Amino acid sequence: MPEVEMFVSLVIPDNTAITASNTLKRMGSTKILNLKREIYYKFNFNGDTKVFENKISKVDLLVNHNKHKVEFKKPNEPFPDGRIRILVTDTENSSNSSSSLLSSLKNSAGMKNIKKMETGTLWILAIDDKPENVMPYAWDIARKLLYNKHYQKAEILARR
Amino acid sequence: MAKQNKNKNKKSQAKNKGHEKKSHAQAKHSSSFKSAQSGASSKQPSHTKKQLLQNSPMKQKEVIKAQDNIKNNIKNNLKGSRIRIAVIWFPGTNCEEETARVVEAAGMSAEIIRWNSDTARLRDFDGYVLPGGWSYEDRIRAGVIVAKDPVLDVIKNEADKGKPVLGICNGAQILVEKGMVPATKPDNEIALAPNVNPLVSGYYCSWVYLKVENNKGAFTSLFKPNEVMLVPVAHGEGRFMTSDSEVKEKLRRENLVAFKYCDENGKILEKYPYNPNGSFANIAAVYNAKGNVLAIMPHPERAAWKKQIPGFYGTSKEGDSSSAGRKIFESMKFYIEKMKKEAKNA
Repeated sequence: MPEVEMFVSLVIPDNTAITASNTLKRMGSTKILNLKREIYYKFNFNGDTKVFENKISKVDLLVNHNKHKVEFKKPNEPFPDGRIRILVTDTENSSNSSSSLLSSLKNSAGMKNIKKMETGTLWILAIDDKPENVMPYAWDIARKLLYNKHYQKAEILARR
Repeated sequence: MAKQNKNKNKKSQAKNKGHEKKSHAQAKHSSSFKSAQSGASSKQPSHTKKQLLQNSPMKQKEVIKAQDNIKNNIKNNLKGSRIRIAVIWFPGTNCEEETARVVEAAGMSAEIIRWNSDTARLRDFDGYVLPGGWSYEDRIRAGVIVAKDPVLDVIKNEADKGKPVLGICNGAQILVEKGMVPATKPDNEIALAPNVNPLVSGYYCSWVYLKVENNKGAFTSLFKPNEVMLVPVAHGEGRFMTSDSEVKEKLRRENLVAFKYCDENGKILEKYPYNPNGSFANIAAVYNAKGNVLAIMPHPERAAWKKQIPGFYGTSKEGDSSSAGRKIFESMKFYIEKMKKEAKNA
């Protein structure tokens, strides 16, 4: 079954990312050069990938073309910029928002060929440190602010 | 003629000066809770009730009421025993006015304080309330940005000294993210996760029944054991949960759960609509281990007068009488008075 990852980012200023960046600086994390945020979706579906990508990127439940930019990747496809990416997702059964979104996509947006869907927040960090320190630094930031261990999990997408 | 006018001007200037002095004195003595009412009164401080009758009937009532409030506040302040509560306002907080109103109704003095005010001034207060709303638009997670703000360190220090801290809804989310409840370990032991509700995902509001589980803490001492009260809930991230089974056991063993969701008879039913968000063990409010910090998801400040309760059809006078939600604030007052007495005796 084909699988695709969709990354939705804002083209206008992202207040959440700015607030996160300011908060981290106030907390003493001064090595962050840049912090961006993207909404992450992963779909398993039936049908042709190009057709699916074209159709899903036009669903306004997920993308508003006036303010969003969409990018697709195959799972494990590398990120060329070499930045650290922390993916925060809810742990299983912790929330019903994802299942309710899937139901809306199937029933209201006509995307009945979606078989499985995952959602999350992707934090993209540029860290000014030695390469061997970057990963522990990113984990420290994730633990301090970006996810709550009781109902969320974080993973670093290290695809180079 | 010119001389006459000059004299007239002098007289009116003197009169105005008198007004200024009076209103300043009133402002100094009056409660610092800046409601719309007190604002109206400071503009027309020395008008008699007769003069006010010339204004529109609504305004007359408001101004007269505000003047009476100020008089009462001056009386109470002159007694020198007014308990001062800081209602902390963060960017995005929107329940500060009604919270301050209930604090006043419970017999304390409320002051709405901005999050970036002088922290030294903040230490002078006898207690703190973090009201509901959407601080920082709930960015990242509800309450997490404020939890990292230096002002919370000041409040935490004061709580460690025994001062009471009440977090309502978004205030509760802040206290939980800060790790101020249940505070049996240095780490964050519990979380307020997104609601799990069979009808809607995200924000949900309704009226729910709460049962008193612990009436020993600073905010529940005036409740009877197992008392049931009706209060509104309004949140999207209000599900108490923990991934640490030891904490679950500790909450039960140390009796740190202040309120649980229940039915109208006080029966704990772990299903919707009695439990509106899927909280584990139907928890609606949690104390810290000392019992002076309370994180409560429902809004007791919206159930403090009988007229606010659904199904109330009494007279206006009956409607103005106290309802169960106010007891949380009255218990807070009782706790501070007790704390002050003990400090005096010591």
